[in-house]
Amino acid sequence: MLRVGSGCSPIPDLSGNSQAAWIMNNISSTNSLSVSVRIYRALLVAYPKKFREHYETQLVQVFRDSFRDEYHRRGMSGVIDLWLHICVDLFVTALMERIMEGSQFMFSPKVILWGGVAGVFSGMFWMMMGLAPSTGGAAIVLALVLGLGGLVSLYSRQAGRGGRLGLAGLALGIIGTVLELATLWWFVTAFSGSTYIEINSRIEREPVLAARVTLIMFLAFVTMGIGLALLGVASLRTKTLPRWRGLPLGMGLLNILLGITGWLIYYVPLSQGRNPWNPWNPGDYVVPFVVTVLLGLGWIGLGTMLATEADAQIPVAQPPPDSA
Amino acid sequence: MQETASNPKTTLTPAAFHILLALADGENHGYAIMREVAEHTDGKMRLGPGTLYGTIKRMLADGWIEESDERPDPQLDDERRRYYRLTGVGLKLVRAEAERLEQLVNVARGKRLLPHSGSVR
Repeated sequence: MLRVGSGCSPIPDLSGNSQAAWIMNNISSTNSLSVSVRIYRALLVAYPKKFREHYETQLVQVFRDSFRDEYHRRGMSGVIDLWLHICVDLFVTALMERIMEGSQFMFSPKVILWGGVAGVFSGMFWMMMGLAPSTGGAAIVLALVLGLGGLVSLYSRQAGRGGRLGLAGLALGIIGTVLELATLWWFVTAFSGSTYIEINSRIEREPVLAARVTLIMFLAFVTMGIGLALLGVASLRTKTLPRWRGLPLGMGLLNILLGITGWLIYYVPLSQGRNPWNPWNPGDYVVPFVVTVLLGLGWIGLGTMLATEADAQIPVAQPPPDSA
Repeated sequence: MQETASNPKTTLTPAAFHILLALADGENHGYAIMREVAEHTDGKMRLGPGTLYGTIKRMLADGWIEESDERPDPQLDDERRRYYRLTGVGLKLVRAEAERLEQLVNVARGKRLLPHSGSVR
């Protein structure tokens, strides 16, 4: 059954001057109502278009009913109070709706798919870096930039269920990547040279600066690794990956390992005034190269899974038991 | 983050709980829900139109409430009004939340923060 009734007050049974006053009062209320409704309707532009299209009539109707009620109960002071309340409500809810609209895009299969594809390419560049270190500079930049897509795809796959852990993982992953790119740029500008000998001589001239840059670089790797590991834990807890659920956690740990080995191999000698690149001994770099190749394989696997199963349903928990 | 009705860890926001409560004894339209919430809470909880329809939108998406196809008699009420009613999931949720609150009230009674039901201060 529908329960009928708006907030509209009926014309009271008055006579003479009282009725005239009531009518005058009502005319004034009608004028301020139509102005207020116009203003409120204009303010609704703050909401996302989709929300506005669906609820504009209802929002205006509720506003109109509230206005009439407040005006008849408390006069202009009620209207002012209503407007204050409406402004706060509109600001907060419009912001929320816009954030939610953005997050809906963030959790869409399209983001998972293209982020996964970026992850696959990132993996290829990681492998290239491990198997052909001479491609170093360009390969690492591409691996890192495309890896951002992979991180977003992994977070998106959690569809918001990763909670603060997933969000912290994504944030640390992005911070680590950006820091890594920035220090790479710093390293290249500080120690650039047309030949290997020239670069080496610059590093040997300023070992303290080189040590600082490499320290930040490997801290960035560790930060990225912690981010990926947190995303991995969130994926494990929420069971949002169709298979290989431990893979992101493993990749995060590999990233941390890469940061630690890099710190030992590059930072420690530099901080002691030695150049780790001179003499170049490939045997010293076996561990980071193996880790880099494994990371590449991990990204290729994870990216492929994310891209190919972007539309896969996430299993949900059972409904609560009927407490009736 | 979108919580689903089938998630047992779902926690209701105060606005969602009050709207579900207002719909517990039959379908209703937005403004009537708003008034009922204000009455239930002695005017302490005032839902704005944005909060009301933002919450309704999410509850519709989560399957806690549904829109009624029926429209009021145009002579009695505005036929553009949309009416909403509880779904089975919505009823379960509001019941579970009411029980949770009852448990809390019982704890508060046990700690003598509240008088026992039937007792006079």
